[in-house]
Amino acid sequence: MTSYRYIFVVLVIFLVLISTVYLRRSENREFYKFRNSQVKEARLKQQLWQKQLQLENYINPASVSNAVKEQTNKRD
Amino acid sequence: MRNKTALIFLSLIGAGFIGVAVRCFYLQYYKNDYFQQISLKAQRSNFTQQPKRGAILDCRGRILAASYVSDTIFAEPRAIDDIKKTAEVLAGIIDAAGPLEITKAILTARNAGYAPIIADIRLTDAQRKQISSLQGIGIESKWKRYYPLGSAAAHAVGFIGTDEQGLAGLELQYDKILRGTFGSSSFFSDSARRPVKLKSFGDFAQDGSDIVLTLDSTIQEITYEALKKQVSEFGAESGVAMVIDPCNGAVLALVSLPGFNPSDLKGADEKSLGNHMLSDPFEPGSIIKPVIAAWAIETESINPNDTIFCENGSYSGKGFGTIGEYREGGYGTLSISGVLSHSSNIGMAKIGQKMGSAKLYEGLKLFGFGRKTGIDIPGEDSGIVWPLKFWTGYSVARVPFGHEVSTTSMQMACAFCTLANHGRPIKPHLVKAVVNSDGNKIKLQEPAQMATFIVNEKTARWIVEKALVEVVQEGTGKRAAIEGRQVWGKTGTANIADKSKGGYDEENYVASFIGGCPADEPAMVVLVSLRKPNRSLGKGYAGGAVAAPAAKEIIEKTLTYLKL
Repeated sequence: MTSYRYIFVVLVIFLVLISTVYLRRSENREFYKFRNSQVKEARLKQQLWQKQLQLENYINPASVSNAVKEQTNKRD
Repeated sequence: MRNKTALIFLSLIGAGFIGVAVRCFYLQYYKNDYFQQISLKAQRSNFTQQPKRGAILDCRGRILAASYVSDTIFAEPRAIDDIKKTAEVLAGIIDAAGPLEITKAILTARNAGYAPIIADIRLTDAQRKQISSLQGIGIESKWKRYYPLGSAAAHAVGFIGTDEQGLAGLELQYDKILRGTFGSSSFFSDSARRPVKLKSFGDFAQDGSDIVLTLDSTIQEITYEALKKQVSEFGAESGVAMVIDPCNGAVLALVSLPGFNPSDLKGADEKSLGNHMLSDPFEPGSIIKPVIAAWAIETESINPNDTIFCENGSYSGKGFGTIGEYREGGYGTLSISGVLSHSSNIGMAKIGQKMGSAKLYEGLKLFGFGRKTGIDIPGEDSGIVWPLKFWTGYSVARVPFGHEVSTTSMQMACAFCTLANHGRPIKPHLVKAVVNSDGNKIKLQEPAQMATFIVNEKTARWIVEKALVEVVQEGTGKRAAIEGRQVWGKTGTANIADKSKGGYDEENYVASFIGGCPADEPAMVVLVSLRKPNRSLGKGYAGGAVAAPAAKEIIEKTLTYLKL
């Protein structure tokens, strides 16, 4: 084996190791992003549900009844 | 010499290597599991996902109970170096509290590890990120139950405990369906505890299913307001009101007072938690009369065209004591519908005597007295109908006007539904369907179809369309009359048993009205019952004065709402 070949083999092994580490880190990073998105999606769904509840709070019969009472009291 | 030294040196190094190799072998072979566990523990983080508890919806899809995530900002006082500075920064992020307020909350905390600062706050993602970067400050998320109707539907819907478990009402009855299942997964995490790889996946959290009720929020609110007004006006101890569809037993409204706020049970009076509609049997008094009269006609003990001499207000005899009337001087001869419209005790006693104890007992049992109606709310009482062997002459003469028998308001409503439903019994129910979290129907609760008749259609129609319409038009229930509508019903002013002295409490009564509208094809049966209206107020205590006006209001508003 000439010294060039020897250097080439070492370089290839070195590059393979570097790319393995890089790919592993990328996988971890992507997984973390994916989990983050999942949590964010759940939170957004929650926020939408909370908005729905807020709306429900304005239009449910008990609130309407109270609003009507308040209006009547103001008029009196 | 030199070689010898080198040999010793090399031997020592060799021995050292052998020692290390032995140690490695020992750790790898014998201690492998132990160290693997420690290592995994450091790398692993477990994640448990709590399911969302199912919502309770009314018949039009309006929310009666639902869960949402509530955030609480908390501090860990021992982990904060400069409380004042942290409070200032936090106050800059959120508008809900000032630095002084935050400092006070941290300094006055009893627990050095946890001090809640602001509960139930809504945060944006940016605020969340900023708060998370503060040393010693955290955000805690918890599920919270929300009840938009508050105390108006509290007894039907029920409430949950701190562990998200149903403790009363439908929340308890349908707890398994509403609860859902927990999800779990395990991750490998990096040094900052960020998940980097899935280790094992248990399951996704499965949100609880929603339940759709027969209850209508608007009718519930109408009923609640009418009953609340009446209970307060007459200073009554408690009250119940109910609206039910007599054709299928669907409960449209169910109210029990005193009420409580299911979102805040800390201030609730223990007595207010009970559902008087189901758990409070009482001697029904005159409201049972139409049921007994219907059964007497059915068994041919009497004929609708018969007349009964009502002894001018005092009827006594051997074996059944003396029976009087509510009205001074009583009545002379009355028709059967007259007995009901004037609510004559003597007339009913004579009907009971004509029927005899066996038939009377059979009728009570067939109409469902003495056993639970089977409505899907927990805590139902079965009432009391004494076994026939305990009946005396007193029983035969008194059961027909609602003494010596105890029933719940729910049983009375069901008996009247049978009359309104042309003699066919119904099964009361509150839940119409179960819907999963994706909105797909998974179970439809069909009302039980009863093929049998307790009384035939002709008898039931005569009682409702003739006798009970007369009660409202000319008799004791005049205050329930609505112009242009054919309201039917029966009033009752029942004695309350005095447990301490024996006999009846002469001061206190249960004032009731039960009826419906329209008379030919009833769309609803309405029951209103107030326990112990305050007589000293001088406003009256009889069913016609106390309960009938509230029933009128409920019927009138419900008819308008349903566009009938």
